[in-house]
Amino acid sequence: MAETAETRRSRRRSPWLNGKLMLGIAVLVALLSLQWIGPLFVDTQEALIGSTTPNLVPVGQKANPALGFKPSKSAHPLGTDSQGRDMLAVMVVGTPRTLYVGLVAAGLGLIVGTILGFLAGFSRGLTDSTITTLTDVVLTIPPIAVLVVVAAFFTQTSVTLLALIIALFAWPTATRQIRAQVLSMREQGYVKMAQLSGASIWKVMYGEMMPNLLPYLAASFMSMMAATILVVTGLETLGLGSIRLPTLGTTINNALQASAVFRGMWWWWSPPVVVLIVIFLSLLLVTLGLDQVANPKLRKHL
Amino acid sequence: MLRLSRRYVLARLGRFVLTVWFGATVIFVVPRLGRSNPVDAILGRLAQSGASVQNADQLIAGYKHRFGLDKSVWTQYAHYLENAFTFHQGYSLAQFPAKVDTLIGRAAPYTIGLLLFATLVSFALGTLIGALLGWSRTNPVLRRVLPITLVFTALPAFMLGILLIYFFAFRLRWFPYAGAYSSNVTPGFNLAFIRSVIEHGALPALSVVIVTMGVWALGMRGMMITTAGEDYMVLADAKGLRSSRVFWSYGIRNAMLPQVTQLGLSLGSIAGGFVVVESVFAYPGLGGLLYQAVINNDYTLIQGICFYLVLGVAFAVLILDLIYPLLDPRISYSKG
Amino acid sequence: MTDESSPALAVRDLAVEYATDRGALMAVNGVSFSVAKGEILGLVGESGCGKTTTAMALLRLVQHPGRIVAGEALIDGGQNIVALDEKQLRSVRWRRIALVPQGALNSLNPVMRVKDQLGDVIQTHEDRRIGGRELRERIEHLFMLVGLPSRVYRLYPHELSGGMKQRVCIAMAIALDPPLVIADEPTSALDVIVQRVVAQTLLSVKQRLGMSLLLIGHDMGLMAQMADRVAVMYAGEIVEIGPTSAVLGNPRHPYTQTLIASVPTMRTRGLPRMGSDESAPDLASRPRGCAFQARCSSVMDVCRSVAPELRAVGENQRAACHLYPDGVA
Repeated sequence: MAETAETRRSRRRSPWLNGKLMLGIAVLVALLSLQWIGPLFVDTQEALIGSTTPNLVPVGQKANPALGFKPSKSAHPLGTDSQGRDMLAVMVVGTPRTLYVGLVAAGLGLIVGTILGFLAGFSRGLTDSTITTLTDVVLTIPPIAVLVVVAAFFTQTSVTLLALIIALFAWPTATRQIRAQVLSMREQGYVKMAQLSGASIWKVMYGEMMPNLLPYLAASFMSMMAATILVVTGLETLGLGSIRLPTLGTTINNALQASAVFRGMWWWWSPPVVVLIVIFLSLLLVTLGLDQVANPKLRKHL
Repeated sequence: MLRLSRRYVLARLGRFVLTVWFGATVIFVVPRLGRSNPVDAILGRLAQSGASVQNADQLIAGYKHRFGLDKSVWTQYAHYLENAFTFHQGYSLAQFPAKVDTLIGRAAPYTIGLLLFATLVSFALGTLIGALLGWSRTNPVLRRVLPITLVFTALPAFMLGILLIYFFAFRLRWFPYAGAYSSNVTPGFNLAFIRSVIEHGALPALSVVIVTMGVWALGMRGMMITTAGEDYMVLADAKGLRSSRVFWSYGIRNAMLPQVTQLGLSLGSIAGGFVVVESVFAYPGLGGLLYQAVINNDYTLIQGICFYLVLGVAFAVLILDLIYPLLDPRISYSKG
Repeated sequence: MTDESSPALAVRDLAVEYATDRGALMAVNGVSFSVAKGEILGLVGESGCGKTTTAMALLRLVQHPGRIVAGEALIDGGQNIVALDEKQLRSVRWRRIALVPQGALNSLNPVMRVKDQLGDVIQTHEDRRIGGRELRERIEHLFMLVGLPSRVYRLYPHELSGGMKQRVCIAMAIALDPPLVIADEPTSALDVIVQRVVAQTLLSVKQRLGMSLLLIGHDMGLMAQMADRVAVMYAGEIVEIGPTSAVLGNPRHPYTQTLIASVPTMRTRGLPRMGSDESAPDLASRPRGCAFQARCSSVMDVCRSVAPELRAVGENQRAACHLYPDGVA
């Protein structure tokens, strides 16, 4: 049977295909792909200390020798910092590393959070109270407080370890959201029908509830990712990040410690700042896009 | 206002104590994960990084006394808890013989003042802006203009801080970029001091306000839109009430309830973010102190600050929890 | 300016359209009726027939994507509600026409005390500032009229039972002594016993204050108890209208007949007879002719091509059906 104009129109209007969501994800994927595409164009070894001439200004800027700067070289279009790192290489290496922390922590947090959220929402009673109390307790503790202690006492923290620890603080966000959704979905007709027809709890969860939960899971993931990158970058700005390979936060910290802002070395501190802005904006866009999927009332506005 | 049921208050107090205990325990456990003796660990680190500690004997003796290091881990733990809850965090390593608690006591007012101010302002502004954006009868001009205030929502506060320093302190020189007050001003209740404090606090506060404002605005906008569809809103219109009254007493009063809950949940991250903002601005609050402590490998000070951070946030959440039933009359009557 | 002989409400050709994905939908398709002073007119029909939309239209509360596209509604022979601007509307609302909403489950502001919700409507509409004591006395007088204990004064909505909440809504509706009150399914969401109490409250209030009442619902029993006249709606149109005893006792329109027949009585045995197609009418694609043709057991050829108009079929009773082409009694 030929497709009528109606079905074509309603398919085009699938809420998942909204502009914000797609733009945000596209940008994030592009930044992440620097991990593989970047090394094809840039020598990543130049992201390490002392690998090139320090204090080179970026292409197009005049160097003021009185301030200790050297004229630009086309091999280093974004200039170099005062410790001899090529800024372009730093960006290519650091961006995926920062995103990686976000992905790992958010991913782990989502898995733990979903399991606990489901358990709490479905079981009610003591299980629910225990999980809820634990969630609230962990949520209240400022992650920075614990992370600073960890990072200060264990200076060999790798990025992966940091990500795992941050995940320990990320999961409550997901748990709360999932639990709230499960609680409201429990009462829905289709869930009760499935239960009445003898389906096991797992079948009900995956078959009936998951599809409707997807936008909330995705939104949780995004907000956990934003929170994680925020925390890890903050930690690195305090000087507690990994030392060898750069990340966006450690670069900012290096720049601040070398008073880059006041020496006018804008090419040192602004690239990581700009990239972070782009990352957060993309995450925000994705979250707004997911909001529209989840809450039809918001689809008309903005 | 005896609407708070005893059960509710006890439950919230219990959660407060539980949270602080949990945080304190984590802070206690982490340094001991590597070695069994924290003082050795501390001294070991110091030796590694080439620093020297004056009066090492006094320090070690003081620690052994305070923490009973010759006794079992559990006794140490008990002592630690006892000390923590009586506000005895020991001596600072880098600024010996200064006590951690004293240093924190000096720094805390700056953080509490600025953070409290910034959080309240951003919550109030953000909620109002969000409500206006979510209300169908808002002035269309306002509707166009207000979203501009939300541009910086996606940033971490400390990054906006860096940008603000660059533009307003470095380029335009309108504001100072470090400290809480100028060195040529004497502290006290005089106008020059107060003005200096405000000048120095403006950019750090602004960083937090501009960024968090957007979060509240977005949330409130969503809630207002949802609330606008409720039956009591329709009836409020039918009653012929003034638009402003419907907006405030029927709309905002209901829509902001989840926002307040969200505020309580976010205090942990807001405090964390603020700590980093302070370090960027060299502001002598807890954040600035923490930054100094990290640079100087002042492990006792780090532990102390982190404990007080946990305590402070948990306390703020407790206050918020106790205020909440005043806003939502349904709460203290439901289960805990 | 009230004309003593004019009806409390006169509705002519009211039409409300909804814009949907499948095109424009006429939820109310040219409805005309009037409510005399001191009369109770019942508006019945199944879900989706347009009765609530009609009520919302009379209060100008139709929300996007719906809008009033035609017709007029005159209150007390004077102002046309449909044509009022925002400012005029605000002064007319509640003072001349008030609403007792459906079910009252969510119609009261959860964070305001009862006294404040009753108080603010009084304060808003009076020209002068009413002092605390006078306000309290007025509210307690309203409580007395609806049979609420005075302790309700300081309570919050969640502390009230369903029946009490509904009576608060009734008290709110009569607070300004309006000439017309619309009650939209006032007893639907309540328990059977409570329904009776609320219905009686409504009736006693009406008798005491002498206002007109437009009673909307699908409960024929309630209509039989309370309404002086009844109008039956189907697919956004009025298909029969007349005195309650006539319409319920001697229904002329086939739809009215099925409605009455579907009410179980102590004496009926066997299943009521319904039309061939049970589904609710699709308002987006109206057939040519009578809207009821698909479900009507007496359908004729003319029904499929010409839409019937309301014609007299008895004393003061009118029905829109081709079975009565010349208004046969």
